[in-house]
Amino acid sequence: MTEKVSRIRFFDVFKLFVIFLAVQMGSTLVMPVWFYDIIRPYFLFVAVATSILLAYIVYMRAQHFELSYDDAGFSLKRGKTLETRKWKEFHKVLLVRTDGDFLVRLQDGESFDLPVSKLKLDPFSFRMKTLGFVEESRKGSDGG
Amino acid sequence: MVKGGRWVAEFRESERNHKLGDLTFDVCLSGGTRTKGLFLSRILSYFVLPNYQVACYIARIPSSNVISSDFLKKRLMLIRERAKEEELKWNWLFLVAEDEPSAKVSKLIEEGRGDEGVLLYNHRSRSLVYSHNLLGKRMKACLKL
Repeated sequence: MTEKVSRIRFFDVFKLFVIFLAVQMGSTLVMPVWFYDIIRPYFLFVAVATSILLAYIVYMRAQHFELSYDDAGFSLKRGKTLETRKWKEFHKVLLVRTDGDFLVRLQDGESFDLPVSKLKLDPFSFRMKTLGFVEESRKGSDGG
Repeated sequence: MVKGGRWVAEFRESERNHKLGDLTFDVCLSGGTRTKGLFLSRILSYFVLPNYQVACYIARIPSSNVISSDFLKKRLMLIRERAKEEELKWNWLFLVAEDEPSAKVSKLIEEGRGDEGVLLYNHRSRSLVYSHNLLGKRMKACLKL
């Protein structure tokens, strides 16, 4: 059975929202005064609404992670990029801590990182789950 | 890797069922002596702390009676070989048992001759026997078990 993890990181959406809002606020400084006078009654509402929309779109297109996995393999989608791998392609499972984030690193010559913190998964239990998948799939492929 | 006691090293990677020669350790932690963190911490660690790579091998043993001079020698030899290959400057061997070690075993660990820190933790009584070298003492001081 395929499990799917796709959790929105609201703080990351919020960070993008702040950036877009700041850019729009900043743009008022270089606007002609007559134009600013026209848009002033609606400006804050429009700026907030467009910032939320843009932040959500950019986040979903570039930063959002979606992981689907089953006994045989997994697919990791980051924004629009999708990568599909089999558990049996790897033989080593490491739990890695980078700056504040945990990754489950799958290795077999080359390495592949599953960003467990960004997927809001418990790194320790997901590492054990991954280890189980990798060991089982290797047993299966060695036996067959 | 999270929370824990005082700082002994920054362990960044952990691997379960780590194979070293013909032995399998339950957990292998590896990392370095330079901390990460925010801007000032990084600058401080860059100028103040040595840049050593470190590893800690953790193994559960059925009983502390299995520990003998050959038992330790075999494990420490493999750890030294790996340390040489991967330039790991500080290494620890951490053994976990369920029973109280005999006086002979405790003495064997405490008199550890090499540079590696060797520790034996009794999971039931929560007591710790450690090699009285720099790394053994340092790990003992930093652990919160």
